[in-house]
Amino acid sequence: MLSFRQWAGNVWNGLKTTFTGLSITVPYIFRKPYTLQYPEEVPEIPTTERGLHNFEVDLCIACDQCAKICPVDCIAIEAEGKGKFARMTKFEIDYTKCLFCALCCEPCPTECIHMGPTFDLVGYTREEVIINYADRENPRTFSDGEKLPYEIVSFARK
Amino acid sequence: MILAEVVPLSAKLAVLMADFVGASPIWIFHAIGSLIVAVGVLALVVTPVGLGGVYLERKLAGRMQNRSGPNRVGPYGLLQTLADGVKLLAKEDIAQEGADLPLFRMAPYIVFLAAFAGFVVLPFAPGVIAADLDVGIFYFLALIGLETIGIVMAGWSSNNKWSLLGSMREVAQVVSYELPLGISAMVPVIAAGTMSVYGITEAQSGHIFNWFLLKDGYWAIVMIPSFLVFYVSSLAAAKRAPFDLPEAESELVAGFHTEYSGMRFGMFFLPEYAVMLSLSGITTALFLGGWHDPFGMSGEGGTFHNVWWWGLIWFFLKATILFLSQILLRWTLPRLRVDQVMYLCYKVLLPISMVCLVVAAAMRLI
Amino acid sequence: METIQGVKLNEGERAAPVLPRDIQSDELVFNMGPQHPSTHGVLRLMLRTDGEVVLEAQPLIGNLHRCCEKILENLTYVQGLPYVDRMDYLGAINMEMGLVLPVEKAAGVEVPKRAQYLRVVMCELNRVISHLFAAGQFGLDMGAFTPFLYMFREREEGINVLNEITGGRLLYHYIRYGGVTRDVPKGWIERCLKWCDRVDEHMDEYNSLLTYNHIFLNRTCGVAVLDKETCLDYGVTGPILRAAGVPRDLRKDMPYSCYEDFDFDVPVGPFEKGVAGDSWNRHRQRLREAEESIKIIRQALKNLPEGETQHPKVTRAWKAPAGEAYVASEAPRGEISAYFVSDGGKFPYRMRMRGPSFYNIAVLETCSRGLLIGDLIALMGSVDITLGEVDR
Ligand code: SF4
Ligand code: SF4
Repeated sequence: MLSFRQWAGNVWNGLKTTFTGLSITVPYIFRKPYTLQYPEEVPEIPTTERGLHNFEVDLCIACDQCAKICPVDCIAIEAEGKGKFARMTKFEIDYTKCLFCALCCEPCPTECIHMGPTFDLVGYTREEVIINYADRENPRTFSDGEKLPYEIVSFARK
Repeated sequence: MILAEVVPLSAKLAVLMADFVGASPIWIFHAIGSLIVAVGVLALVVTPVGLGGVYLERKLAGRMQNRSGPNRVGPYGLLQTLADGVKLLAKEDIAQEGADLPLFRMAPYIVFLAAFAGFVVLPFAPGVIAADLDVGIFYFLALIGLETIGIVMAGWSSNNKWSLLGSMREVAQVVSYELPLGISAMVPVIAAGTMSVYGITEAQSGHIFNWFLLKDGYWAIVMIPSFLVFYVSSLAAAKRAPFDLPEAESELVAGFHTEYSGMRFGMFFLPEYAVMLSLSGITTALFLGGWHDPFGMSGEGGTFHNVWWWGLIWFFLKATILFLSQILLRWTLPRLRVDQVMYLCYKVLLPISMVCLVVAAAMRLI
Repeated sequence: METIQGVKLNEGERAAPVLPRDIQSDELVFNMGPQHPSTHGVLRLMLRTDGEVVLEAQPLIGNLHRCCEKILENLTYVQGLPYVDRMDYLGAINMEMGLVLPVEKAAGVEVPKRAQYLRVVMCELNRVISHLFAAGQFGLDMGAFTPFLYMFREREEGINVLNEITGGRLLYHYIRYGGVTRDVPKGWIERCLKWCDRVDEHMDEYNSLLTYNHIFLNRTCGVAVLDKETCLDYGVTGPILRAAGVPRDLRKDMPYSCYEDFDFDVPVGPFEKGVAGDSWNRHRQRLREAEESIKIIRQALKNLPEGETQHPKVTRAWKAPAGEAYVASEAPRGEISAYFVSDGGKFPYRMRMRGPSFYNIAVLETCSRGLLIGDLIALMGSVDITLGEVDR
């Protein structure tokens, strides 16, 4: 059984903590929202972001190293010729599978594949999220010498 | 005044139609006429009230949570709720297999009707009241009970166990909060000596210390606790947090309206705000002096005595403040458990309101 | 109620009314989840209830099974690491830690000091983020929406801090065999310390808005008590065990990765409200631990030693020599460990992981008897499971 004292204490506690709560939430009404209005205000993406790849097609020598290390085998490479004179015909990354682990950037001998800052990729079908970076008309391809839109953080390691 | 002109409008319409068609029982045209007027009032009054309420809630909730709330459709997102309403209208109306279709379809209308019929006895300003019933408060409390029937129908007919649990909780909640709600409403009735809401408001005419909440002559001692009891029970009646058990989304998916979609869901959604507003209105009329301003300007001999728009401003100001406080509480507090609602109503609110009632009766006698 | 507790219910079978009562009341069988709002992922619970009273709750798991261990046995060492992130996606770095420790022990790799300190910093950062998420989620389950978003705000900042160094926001892939992927960038330490201050500042706000709210206390104090014995019987670990009053924390008991260098407490109690092992104390325990973790971060960043961040011998093509090891470490939700066997080949020979949530979820069945549905939600929210790691 509750004594009257406990009962009154309960009621008082309920009222008190309610007002404590209100004193925290209500001032927020007059503060600036923390959120960003996404399409207009883009969040600050750090240069290390492991987003969609940036690929410099003219540097690639079609050595297949990146495809070999990829844990999910999502890179498909086709090329005419070998070595320095290789001309890429297909460098497809299947983003339905990609883990964005950045392992593919590490073994590349010419450092031509990087993780980029793009974090959004949408499509209605699965084919739409498979990107062929060797497609010359594709604006995602960055050729040698052309300035990349952000500072590259090298993932290349031994 | 406004409504006093509107109501005969249906009779005029009926006569016009009867003339146009020729011999027919006149009551049919009366019925059609009142229907047209009702639809007009719904479209002109109810929709803005509901939509405004929804917008306010979403915007305030957003700002309290450090977000910005709706801000896309229209300036400051003002048209967002309208857009949502259009979306709801355009959605497919799905009834799940095994649902008890007649009940399933009827339930939202009952809830809608009960929620909006409460406005009939609200005295917005001197002379502006749809029907000044002698038992206005009883009528209002009965309508709140009627809404529950709609909710139980919805939960029962949905053929969904979560809905069933939600409506069971609603019933448990109703039997708990109705007692303190009714008893604490009796305290102003005793003070005013009438059950008509209009009469109670008139009894509070004058400056702020004539309002029942702060009424001089020691009335405030019983009025403040019974105001709090009435306010808390009205939160439960409006199914607002911390009493949103029937639709507790983290426990019962969406409670009694889990299976509803499209405009039928809207018919549950909009009345929630209407009930909030009508409960705020009745609290205003019972305790906060209704349309009277705090300076005595609308009292006898005041500058704005019996000026309807002045009363309207004050009534809506007070009701809106109560409405906003309901929103602020909802986004601050966690939810009670089903047995705790009963504990609160039976062991906290009911004794307080009983004591207040007895003391008020004694004060009246002395 | 007692008479039907023993009756097992097969899937799809309707419960027979076996109540020896004058009034026959039917039992309800609920299928809670996998799409229920508060089952935290794809957990499915079969509930047998009498009205609102839960008679039996059976967790049915496996909806997210991905053969994580078998995949690890079929990938080279370096390829396997991004996969364990997907186990407990809320404590990804701690999962990586659980994988690399036994492998390094079996192979006898000595990790450079700087890398060890960085690992500690990242683990603790991730622990704070995970605890903030869990506490907020618990508030949301109890019907309090606003504290959840406040906690998410700080969590978001923390994710940004982690993002700056690892490049990921949820699945970090930061720890490697023999070291870490990347050294700290310029200005990162200041930013991280600033974030620590921010969380410390807001901790009061969470506590007075949610933890000590009267309604919240009533909802959680003494509800769904998991006492010492039950916890030890079921192999429950982590904050749940400590909230029950057992001061077991692997960071203190079997220090790994230089945890012995830091001065921190394992908060056990005081159980100011409720009883030891109830929902409230589990929630409070998480917030207390988050504060301790922030202490560790501050110390580690202050004493960050200079040097390499990667063992020079452990390269991309590294293979563990033949051997085996079992090492356990402390993840946000309990003990994560792996038993690892290598035959010296390209792939690990055997990899078996012990995830904490899998053991923590087992108590749901015993502990949920006789609770109301609202209490069951409190139990699930305060036990805080990640289904990715239960199902693996
Ligand atoms: S990021 Fe990882 S998963 Fe994606 S392509 Fe590169 S190696 Fe493959
Ligand atoms: S590793 Fe580099 S050079 Fe070799 S195929 Fe891949 S992208 Fe081209």
